[in-house]
Amino acid sequence: MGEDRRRFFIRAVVTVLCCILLFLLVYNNSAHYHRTVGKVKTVSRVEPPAAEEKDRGSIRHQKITMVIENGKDKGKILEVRHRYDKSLVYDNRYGRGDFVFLSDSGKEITGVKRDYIIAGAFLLLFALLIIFGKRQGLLTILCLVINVGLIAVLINLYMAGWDVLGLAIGFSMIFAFLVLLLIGGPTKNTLIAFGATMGATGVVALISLALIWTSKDIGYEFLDFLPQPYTTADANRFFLAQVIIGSLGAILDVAVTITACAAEILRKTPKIKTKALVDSVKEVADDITGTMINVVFFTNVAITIPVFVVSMANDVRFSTVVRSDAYFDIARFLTAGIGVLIAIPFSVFACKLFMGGKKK
Amino acid sequence: MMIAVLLAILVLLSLFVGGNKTAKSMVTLGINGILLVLAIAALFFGVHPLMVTAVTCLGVTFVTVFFQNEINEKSKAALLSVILVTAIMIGLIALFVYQGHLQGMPVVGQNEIRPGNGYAADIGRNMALIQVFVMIMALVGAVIDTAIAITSGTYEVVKHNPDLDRKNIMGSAMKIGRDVLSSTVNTLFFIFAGESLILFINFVNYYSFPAMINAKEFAQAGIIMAISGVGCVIVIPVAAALGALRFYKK
Repeated sequence: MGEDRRRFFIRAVVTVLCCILLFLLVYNNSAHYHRTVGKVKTVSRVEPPAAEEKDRGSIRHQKITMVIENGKDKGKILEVRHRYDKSLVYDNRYGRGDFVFLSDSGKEITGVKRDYIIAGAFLLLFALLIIFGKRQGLLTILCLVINVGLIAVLINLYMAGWDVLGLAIGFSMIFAFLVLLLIGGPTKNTLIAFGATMGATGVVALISLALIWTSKDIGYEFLDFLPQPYTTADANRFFLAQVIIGSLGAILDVAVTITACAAEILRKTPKIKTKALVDSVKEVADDITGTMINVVFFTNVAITIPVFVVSMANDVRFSTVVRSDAYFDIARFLTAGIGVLIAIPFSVFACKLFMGGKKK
Repeated sequence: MMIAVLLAILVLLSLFVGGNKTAKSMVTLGINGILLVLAIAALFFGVHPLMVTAVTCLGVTFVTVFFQNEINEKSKAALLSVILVTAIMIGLIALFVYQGHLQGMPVVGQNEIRPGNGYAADIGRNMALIQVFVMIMALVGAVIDTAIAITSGTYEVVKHNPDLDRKNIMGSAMKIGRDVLSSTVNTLFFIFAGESLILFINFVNYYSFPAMINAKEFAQAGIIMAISGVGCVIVIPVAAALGALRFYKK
């Protein structure tokens, strides 16, 4: 056990050091940007310059000194005035240590540099996966990296003129196959889980297809970032592509759990009767669906909370937000939830068909 | 209307496909939905976001763990793990939200909510703390799932092997946690990818890759996914240790 503990310790230290190193690389990457990057040194609150703004209680002004981090003015000290609304719906309140992008004139802050924040979050996830997840943790990282790579390929193919819906369908098959192969290895179980996943995803896609194409009242102006200009047919395809990819993970989760469990029961009790096997598997499915559906609920719907608050504070009714801005997130949650439930009979059926057990 | 039909399909399926617990999960979901609506209303009426976070988070955890899974040794250990992990994570989440300026609405592109469409900026609510609330809720949902998988699996192991000592129980629990980890992180990833697909395409189309990885809306979605994943990993040792402490009988 002492040996184990030492190896755990060494692995943890090496992982943490590697992640800190990678983080520092991203943290100090300003030189790679064409846009001017400044690092905030001091911030002080100042009185608004124009008299008219004095009666607007929520507006604040900051005087920010920063050091330019890249380009020909690197190292120069700069002073910028910044105004924000203290609710911070669209604005930022800057503080010491922030990295910001500057306009060409150098007088205005145009955005926040967030790449190192995202890198930090994912490196933290990766470090913990390696330290506590061991082999499965490494596999999970491999899975994520491959999936991100595949998404990049998907986007490049879309840019090359491929249809977004066709890509989503094709890639969800590739995603499912690779994820299952990585988790389960090249076994019969993997194929069974793949069959169940494809069946369930297909049904979810067909239900959504029917509903999306028969609804006349989908407010696509509320689907943020939809490439403009679009026709309803274009928008429908984008929405369905989102639905398919969004429900894939939850369906995979159910299919993997059920087939792995059936295989384990068969391994422990090879003589089990088909009906007993199916009953056991159904029992397990019943245990996992409740919390699965709630995971899908919160992960999809939590991001709409600020949308509701901002809209309602602007006198937009709750029900209007449900029918407009939050519509797509709620729809994605519901289809993923349906995916979880549909995946159960497909997985049970696939196990029954290909794993068997004794007939009598 | 699509949402009504989807909801009807979800409820019907839960009644016919699964067993009693699946049907019960619709009640859990309904209560969680109501809690979320109440939280939105409280935020709208100006209740402090941290207060709303604490109450909603505890409410959702109690309902999902105790109502969905009944009150027993397994669910008590799961509940404790979820609360501990959330307490550990809240500081980290606040750090990410404040340092990354993750609060508020998207400012790039032609989004419906923007000052040009009459959505005022001075709404008098603290959007940064509301964003912390968003990330906590997404985290809690995912962590509950993993915690329950670990504590109920461990409980079964102890039931079948009552002679196991604490160290071995802990080892089994860690193994169970690692086994469910991969598919949970994948579920989170695909929800993130589905949600952000259009955003990816839009940024590559009209802006640039560097613009995307620094954009607020990309960071919001990505960090929610990463942080929820972090919670799912941290809960493994926490739930394993609690399971080893509470299930060990001697």
